[in-house]
Amino acid sequence: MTDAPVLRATGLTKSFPLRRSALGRVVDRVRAVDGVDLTVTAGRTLGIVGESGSGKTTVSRLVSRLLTVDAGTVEVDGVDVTAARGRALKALRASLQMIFQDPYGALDPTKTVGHAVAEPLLVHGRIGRRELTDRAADLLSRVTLDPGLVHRYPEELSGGQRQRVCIARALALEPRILVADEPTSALDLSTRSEILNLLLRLQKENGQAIVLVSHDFATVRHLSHRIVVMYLGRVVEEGPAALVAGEPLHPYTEALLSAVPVADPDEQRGRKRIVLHGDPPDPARPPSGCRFRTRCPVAMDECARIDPPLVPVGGERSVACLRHPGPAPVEPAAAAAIRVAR
Amino acid sequence: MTAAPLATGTAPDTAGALLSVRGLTLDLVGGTPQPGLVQGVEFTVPKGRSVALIGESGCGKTLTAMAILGLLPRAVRVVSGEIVFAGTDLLTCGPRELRRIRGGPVGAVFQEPMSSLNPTMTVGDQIAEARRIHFREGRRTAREHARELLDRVGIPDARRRLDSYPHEMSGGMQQRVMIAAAIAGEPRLVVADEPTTALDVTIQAEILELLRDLRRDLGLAVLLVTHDLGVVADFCDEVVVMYAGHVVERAPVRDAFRTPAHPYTSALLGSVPRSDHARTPLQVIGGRVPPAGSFPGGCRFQPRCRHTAPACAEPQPDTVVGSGHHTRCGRVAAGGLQPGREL
Ligand SMILES: Nc1ncnc2c1ncn2[C@@H]1O[C@H](COP(=O)(O)OP(=O)(O)OP(=O)(O)O)[C@@H](O)[C@H]1O
Ligand SMILES: Nc1ncnc2c1ncn2[C@@H]1O[C@H](COP(=O)(O)OP(=O)(O)O)[C@@H](O)[C@H]1O
Ligand code: SF4
Ligand SMILES: [Mg+2]
Ligand SMILES: [Mg+2]
Repeated sequence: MTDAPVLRATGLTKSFPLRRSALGRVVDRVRAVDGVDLTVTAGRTLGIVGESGSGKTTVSRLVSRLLTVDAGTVEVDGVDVTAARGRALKALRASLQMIFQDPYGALDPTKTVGHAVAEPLLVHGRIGRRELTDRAADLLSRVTLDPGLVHRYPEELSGGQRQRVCIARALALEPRILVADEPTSALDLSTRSEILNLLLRLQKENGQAIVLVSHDFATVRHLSHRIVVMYLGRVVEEGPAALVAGEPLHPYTEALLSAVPVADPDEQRGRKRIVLHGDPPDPARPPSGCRFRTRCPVAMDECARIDPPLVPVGGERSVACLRHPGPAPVEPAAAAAIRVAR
Repeated sequence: MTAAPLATGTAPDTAGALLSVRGLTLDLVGGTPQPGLVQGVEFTVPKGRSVALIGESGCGKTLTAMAILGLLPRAVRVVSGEIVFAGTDLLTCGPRELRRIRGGPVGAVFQEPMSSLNPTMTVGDQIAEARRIHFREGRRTAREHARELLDRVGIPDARRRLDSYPHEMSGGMQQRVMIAAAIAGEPRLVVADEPTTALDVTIQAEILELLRDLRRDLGLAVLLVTHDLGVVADFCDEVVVMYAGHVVERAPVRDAFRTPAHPYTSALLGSVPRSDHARTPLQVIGGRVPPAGSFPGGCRFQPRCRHTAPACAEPQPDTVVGSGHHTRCGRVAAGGLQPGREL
């Protein structure tokens, strides 16, 4: 394991057309992702949380190159893959794989489980047809599924089993990066634990970098080393998981966490609740200044004028909020005074 | 009227119950008939209290809720049991009486507001409808009450919103409209099947806050179906745990979380991630809920339980292990296993 990032994205920006004029010209766009930076190192998990519509899925599809960026760059192992096509894109698939929320939609109902799992190996010419069953059985046992399932069809499996099949398939090419978009959101509580345990174990064994996208703070906190909090297409806070989840700095992170009820009646009933009023604003028309200001419980007058940038505030964390300006720049006169005092 | 305090330890005795479900058994008829989808379900909802109905997917929570609301799918039949609401058995009373109760003293809120709200009717008309049916109000009065109700559930600019259609609103707003419609009949009980599962946590917090206010102001009792143990801890006074069509445990909320008396409840609690145990393996319940029709005899949790013994294959009677605390684990009942999180 090294500290060099296996995946680095800078300035990711993507907008989607909302409406077109009679002549087919786009007249209204929604900026789903607006200047997002991410870095993930080997063997580590980066969690992305935020409400629905905050741009999490769009970010994960941009870094996976399932969508093309409007602006920004994506690097895998130091290689710029932002505009990769053809062979380069195929090579990217071998180092980066995705797991999706819906294990039902992700599998072709007409293909056996064995085929689903080993298909990437066939496509990449790593195995011949005759090896398919054996390799598929291997992969299934890595995700603790009965290798006997190779001849079954997806409809015969439960949601949790299907999600494991998807994970086995994602592992087939031994990617260095897994991007998982809400991998447990469609699953029951107990099945969710199984999938989270599986991701933890696989990461310990193979040292993959994982990008875990979820609207569920508990899931993200459980798996992540670092957490990115998104609001309306922007990163509003980023830092070590324990700090972001334990001592949030951004008012949005604080509100989001306080809204997650704790499964302990005494603790939960003694908690301070910050109820955010109103729905998130229309992402096509974000508020002026700080995008969170319309729901922010501690907004100030200048929050309507100044759009706070994401700035480091020490302790390896960054925050985009005018109430957390980071270390104040030292005035030249004061700096001179300090030098004289020395 | 004031809501009952969030006390624990008092027995939910049937005498003071607003709703009491006794021996409810539902069979699947037609197709491949399957007996005992829901079997011998017993629990009560005391006046003004909030009771959680929890369990994994497919354990019979929705069917139980639908039986109470008289909305069971055609293929599902009530074989036996009683559902007594304020002295009336909803399963044997006439259709007229039922119409008086449903949408009146018993309201309903579901997971998907869009599938329960009528897309072709303005929200004002949908809310006013309950007032017109249950209180024989005229158009003007019903509309004025609908506006008050929208206001009450926190919809800004209620007068203008009366003429909106459901699809013009966000998911959180639709859920508020559904709650407004549910309380329009001035219910004493609201049955809510996963009312916040489809919503963001921030919106969930607002909806739970609203339901809490309504309970306080109107003395409402709530039967809340949920998967989220955090929501149970936050909102409910009592917990009913279902597994494969059986009620396996019921308890006041603190007892259910501190001293669960059924291995299934304890396993569910153990699978919740805890902030002080990040990146460590979570407890899992091996296997899964058997499909209806292939339930084992005796305790239905047997094949997945860590403590299975030969006696578990026998029927497990409902046993009281504490004040208002019932289990259907014979091993706990016999004292061989201690209630608690380690169960
Ligand atoms: N219309 C129906 N026809 C046949 N079987 C049904 C029908 N509705 C429910 N069932 C079966 O009854 C059992 C209980 O279903 P129910 O919907 O009550 O579960 P639930 O506990 O609400 O689950 P979830 O948490 O997924 O909502 C399941 O085995 C289900 O497959
Ligand atoms: N293919 C698309 N076409 C149009 N708008 C889209 C598309 N994908 C996402 N959006 C919009 O972009 C924003 C971010 O969406 P998404 O990335 O899916 O958020 P999240 O995953 O956080 O819920 C939302 O406003 C969404 O409606
Ligand atoms: S910048 Fe202002 S409005 Fe934005 S989060 Fe900070 S205090 Fe709230
Ligand atoms: Mg998404
Ligand atoms: Mg249900």
